[in-house]
Amino acid sequence: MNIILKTENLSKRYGAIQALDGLSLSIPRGSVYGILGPNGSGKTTALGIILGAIRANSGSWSWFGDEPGPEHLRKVGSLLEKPNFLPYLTGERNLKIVADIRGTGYDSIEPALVKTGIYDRRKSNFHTYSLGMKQRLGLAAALLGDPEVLVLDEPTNGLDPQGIYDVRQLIMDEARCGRTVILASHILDEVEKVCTHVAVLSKGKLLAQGTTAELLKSADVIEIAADNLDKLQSVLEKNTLVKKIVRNGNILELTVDPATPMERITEPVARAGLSATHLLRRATKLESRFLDLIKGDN
Amino acid sequence: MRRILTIEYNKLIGYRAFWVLPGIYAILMLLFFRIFTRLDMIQVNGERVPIESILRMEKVWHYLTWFAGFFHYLFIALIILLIGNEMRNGFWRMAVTSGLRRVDLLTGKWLVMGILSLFSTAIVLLVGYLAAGFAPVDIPDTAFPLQLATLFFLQAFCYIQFGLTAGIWLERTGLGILLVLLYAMAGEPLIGYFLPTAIKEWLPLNVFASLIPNPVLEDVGLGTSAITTGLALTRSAVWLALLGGLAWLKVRNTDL
Ligand SMILES: Nc1ncnc2c1ncn2[C@@H]1O[C@H](COP(=O)(O)OP(=O)(O)O)[C@@H](O)[C@H]1O
Ligand SMILES: [Mg+2]
Repeated sequence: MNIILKTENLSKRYGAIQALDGLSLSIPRGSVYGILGPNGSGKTTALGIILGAIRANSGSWSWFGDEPGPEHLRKVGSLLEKPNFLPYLTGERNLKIVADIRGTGYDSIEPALVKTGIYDRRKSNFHTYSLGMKQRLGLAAALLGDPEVLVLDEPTNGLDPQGIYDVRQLIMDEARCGRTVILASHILDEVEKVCTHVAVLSKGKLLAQGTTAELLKSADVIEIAADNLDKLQSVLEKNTLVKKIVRNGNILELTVDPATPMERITEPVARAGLSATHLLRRATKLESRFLDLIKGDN
Repeated sequence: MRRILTIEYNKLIGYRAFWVLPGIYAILMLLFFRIFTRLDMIQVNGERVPIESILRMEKVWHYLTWFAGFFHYLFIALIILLIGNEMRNGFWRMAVTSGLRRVDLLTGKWLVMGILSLFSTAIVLLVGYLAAGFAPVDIPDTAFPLQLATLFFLQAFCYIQFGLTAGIWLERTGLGILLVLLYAMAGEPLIGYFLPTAIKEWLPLNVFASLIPNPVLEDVGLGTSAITTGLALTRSAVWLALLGGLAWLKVRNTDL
């Protein structure tokens, strides 16, 4: 059984808002699986459903190949959107409650507090914590009892640069120990740095899913122009190495793999009796690929 | 069950209102006992009656449990505060995503309600026995008032269940408490005014109140409350099941 979590056609509607629209994902064991999408794209809704907090309107999912149930969630450490603790209890007592629910025993509390760097403040009431400390306590709760799976929803929210670095480091450490991590984020850079797999969400719909290398690897754009732009376009459309053609004024922008040799593009053009009046090759940033993916949906 | 109790214990230990409100109840009941033991005459229909003539332990228990019934509202406020705090701070979301069954969110509360009802009953018994010991006259028959104590316990539990269901559906603490008090003081009497007696007697707080009939009415000869204890018990059970079911309906289906 190498699929940890599988969702099929999950949908959720809030009144007029379709928060999630037929989401199907397969998350392999041992992966760091990024769910990438702008604010409001349905990441929290999706994670809320698979964690039992939000009721889906339709669709199904399975944990560890089984019908989902509370016993599975005890093996999943999660931080959904924001740390949810009782403000009038100390950090430590809040963790005791989580440990009781998860059935992990109180022994696991101290290491988790140390790992997330809030051991010194464990006796303070939760409401006296800064935003960053609250987030760290949320992470400590997720780590209790070495869960097989970590589900983290925007875990670097509210953290300073050092905190962001620490959390990313922590996620990578946990992944190295063989844990499966599901990480929702709107920050492309974060997903790219940390995740082995990624699913891109927009407006509740899955736009793409695959390994990070496949999906977010950079692409090159070749700008090309000729006197007869229509003929040029029809020639290029027949070239399988050209992934995408965008007409921008009297220039065509071709998206190609960075490994594509230039001649493989220009030779067929020349053979068709066309001469390029403009030719420029540039590498695109990941950022714009991500934005492309999302724009393609509009 | 022990796990759920431990979770509730850890939640309550740091929550001040949980210790303050029952404390207020205990203090007020003891004050009542002080007044009671100073009394040697009471007024009935404008006539002064020496207290010995009506003072039998049976009566003392009845007055005490009936009087203590007004304090159920403190416990209703407490349960609404507890529920509201947990829902507002995302505690339920955290608990469920960590693997607590949704029904156990309620099991925990039912355990706490049982403990609060027991505490409330214990205070009534304590005050009763103190009253018997310190009364200005010897009161005959200090046997344990099993029936009244049981009815009082059930009554307390039913009232708190009313608060629990209201709290769960209203989600906001302040508003929840206000609406429940409004309903108890004005809503139900007003609604009852427009309903035929047969239906009015079915209104929930009326039903719960009728578990321990008003002793003053009895003493001034206005008769006991209209329904028997057996009927009050049956109707209370119906309401308890209904309110419990309503609470579960919300907890089971809501997005946390
Ligand atoms: N409780 C709710 N009531 C109404 N709309 C909601 C609720 N929760 C989320 N939404 C809407 O659903 C969409 C998806 O939200 P969410 O899953 O939180 O997105 P993300 O986590 O990707 O930022 C948003 O448009 C949001 O406004
Ligand atoms: Mg979110």
